[in-house]
Amino acid sequence: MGIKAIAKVKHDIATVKLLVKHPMASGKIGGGKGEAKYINHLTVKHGGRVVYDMYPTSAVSKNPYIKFAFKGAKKGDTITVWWQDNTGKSEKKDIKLK
Amino acid sequence: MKRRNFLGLGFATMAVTALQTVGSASIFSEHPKAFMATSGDAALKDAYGTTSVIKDDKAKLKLPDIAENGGAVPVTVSTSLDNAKTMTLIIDGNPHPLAVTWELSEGTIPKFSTRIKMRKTGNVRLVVEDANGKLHVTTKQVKVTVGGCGG
Amino acid sequence: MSSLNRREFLYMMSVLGASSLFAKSHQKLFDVKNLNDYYKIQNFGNARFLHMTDCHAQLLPIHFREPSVNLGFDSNYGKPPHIVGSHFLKHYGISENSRAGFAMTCMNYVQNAHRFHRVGGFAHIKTLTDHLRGNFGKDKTLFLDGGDTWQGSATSLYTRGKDMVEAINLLGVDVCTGHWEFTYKEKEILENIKALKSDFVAQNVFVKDEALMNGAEAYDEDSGRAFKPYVMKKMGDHMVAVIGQAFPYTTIANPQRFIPDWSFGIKPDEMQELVDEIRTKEKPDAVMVISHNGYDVDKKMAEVVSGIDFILGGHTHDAVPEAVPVKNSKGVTHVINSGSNGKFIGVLDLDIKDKKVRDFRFTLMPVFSDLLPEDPEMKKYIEKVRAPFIDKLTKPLATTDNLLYRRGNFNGTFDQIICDALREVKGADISMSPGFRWGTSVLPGEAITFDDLMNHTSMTYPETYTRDVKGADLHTILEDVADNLFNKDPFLQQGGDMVRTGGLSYTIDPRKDIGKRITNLQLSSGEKIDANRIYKLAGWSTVGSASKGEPVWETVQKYLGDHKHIKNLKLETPDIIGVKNNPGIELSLYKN
Repeated sequence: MGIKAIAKVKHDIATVKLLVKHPMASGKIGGGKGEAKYINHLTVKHGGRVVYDMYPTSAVSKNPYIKFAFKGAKKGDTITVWWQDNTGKSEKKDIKLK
Repeated sequence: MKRRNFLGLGFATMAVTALQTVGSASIFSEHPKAFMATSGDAALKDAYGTTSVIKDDKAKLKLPDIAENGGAVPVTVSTSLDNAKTMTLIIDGNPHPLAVTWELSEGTIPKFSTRIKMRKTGNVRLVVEDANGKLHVTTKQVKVTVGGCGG
Repeated sequence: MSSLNRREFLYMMSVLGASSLFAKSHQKLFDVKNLNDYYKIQNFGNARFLHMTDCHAQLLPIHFREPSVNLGFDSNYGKPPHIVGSHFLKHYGISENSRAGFAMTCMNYVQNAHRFHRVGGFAHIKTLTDHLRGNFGKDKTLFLDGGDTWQGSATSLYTRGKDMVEAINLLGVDVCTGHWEFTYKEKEILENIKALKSDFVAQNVFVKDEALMNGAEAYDEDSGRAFKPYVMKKMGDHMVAVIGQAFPYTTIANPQRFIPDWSFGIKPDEMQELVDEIRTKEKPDAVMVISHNGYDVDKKMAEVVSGIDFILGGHTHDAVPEAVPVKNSKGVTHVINSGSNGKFIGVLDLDIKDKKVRDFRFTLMPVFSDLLPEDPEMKKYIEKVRAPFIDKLTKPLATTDNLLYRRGNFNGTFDQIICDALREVKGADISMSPGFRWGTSVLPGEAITFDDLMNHTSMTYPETYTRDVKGADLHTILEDVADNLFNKDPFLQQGGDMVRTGGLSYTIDPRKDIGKRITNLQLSSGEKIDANRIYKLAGWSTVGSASKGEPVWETVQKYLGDHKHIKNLKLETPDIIGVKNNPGIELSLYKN
């Protein structure tokens, strides 16, 4: 597990790039072998509000890369990345905007 | 379809809870039907209750003509619509075509990039649900080769 | 500069100048009164571009037979470069036994090769390009190299492209881009680029975001571009932008494993943004693209992107003696392709005024090694590069009665030897060899040297394999490669030729869609391929992961050593449907 992030603010727009370590295994449901294990919900919060809300499946590549931007951010603000996979495993990380 | 309901499909209350409390139980412990559909149209029907779509340039899809690696095809989805509610990516050639759904929030610029898996040459569809619940769609074919001989 | 006599020279010039299709060529303006003026073309305008592309590391003069089959369909039917052989001669009003006919077609090739000798060679090219530059004005001339420069010979492989880096430095190339350059390892590529005196430009190569996040470096962090996308050059009183376009399908047609962090593509939107940005910010007098897209891809790019004056293209190895205009939303872009293997230098003179290209002249100039003396410094350099390997390189492996060549949409005779060798040495039912467009020719009666063999096989992933393949999968492979070649959309064409087959014949209808082009697969015995049966397939050059077998040159060297003499070579070409009147095939050279 692990979340890598680059989050930069320019004017009031934050551009966030995330790299999440996860197998995103499709298992039998994707025609593969083994057990399915994939992130099925990922959110990013800024202050109290959700600024990114994604429902991936195993069709998203291994170690998902995600890029998005949102308005109303300042340098030094914190965003919280959270994900959960189909097996119930989850991870949460705070990231400071640069 | 009401915002934040469709993924829950019967788990609406739970879904709202899940989204409001980061880290709470997953709505996916019971796979929503749309994600398990085996055709793109069935996924669309399960997710949005209709397969009726508007083909225009409101939904924008950036994908390569030929995939460098079918295991990680870079995709950027976006929309020029204000207050769109959701965006859904459908990969028609995959066993379960519904690949990703995004719910859009205020302040988020509706332009997202990620990487997707494509098993074979086929169409990728981006469906954008506008503020009135109408679906806008754009389609692009991506070729997945078995190996080239360029030179 | 001598051995061409005046009569021959006048003949060549009159033949070339006679055609109205050469309207924008310098050749009408040739001063033929003075014997010292071979290659001295009448200067035009105020900026000159010299264009070389796809030399494939051929430091020495070579034979290179142009294709007898290069099919075009739909909007490209009968359009350059899909006009070959006698059709080409007729289209451009060139005589079969003229020097131009020899340089640009496959007609009467062997006899003409004996008359006109080898072409290209860096020592000869250097004499010509120095002359063309000095003659026009060094400060107003730019030398562009379109790539596929570091690969294609034994010494380029042994030195990991370094011999060619030094060679183009000596030649005085100003700006270049790449394709096979990317088949070395990332570290080697970056080292070589550092050693270049020229600017290496590529707008369409990006460092993957994932790699960037893991610490990989980009030329420009914001855009993610791996290389400088363009360079501004001063030409006399003018400023000209030169944008690079590397081969967009490098990571599909060639292995990704050597360059895992880089992502390629045609990137027409990015190209348009870049052109617009350059036009606004730099206020250039002209915007030029040095491209490795391939001819038909360049033509489509010229259609969908506006604001480019000229695309100087390569990759598909097409010797097209004219600059072809392509209309787009804001004007016209001209597309050029200057052949391959050091056979040609494209000479493009522009008349620039008030930030506009008012007019131009273009000549595709063959490099005849018998007419151009060698540049002594380059000659010495080439000898130095080859010296450590010279005994091995010049070793004759066998002799041949047949003309050996590769270029063409389907099996060439040298490919046939490779396919035959793979089958025989590896005991396979069927063999496959990639449809590369590089690979020089060997004349009947000549020895096949190790140099010649390496000119057809030198690369960083030469490993051979044998594997069991289902009949149905053979069909899939052929369909997939045929679609890379014949897809209706040029942006889906990768620019190689059809995979060569040994022991396997088939019928192809290039105009059909993928999955429907290939029928009637059969073994050389005539036995139909059974979709469910397993066949033993031998091949080489695997793109996905490295194969375990010996490098293919060892396989072929063994075969040549066993046979000692090549004769009655049976060329396995497919039955092609619907090409009877297509000017992209010279049917007189196909017996069946």
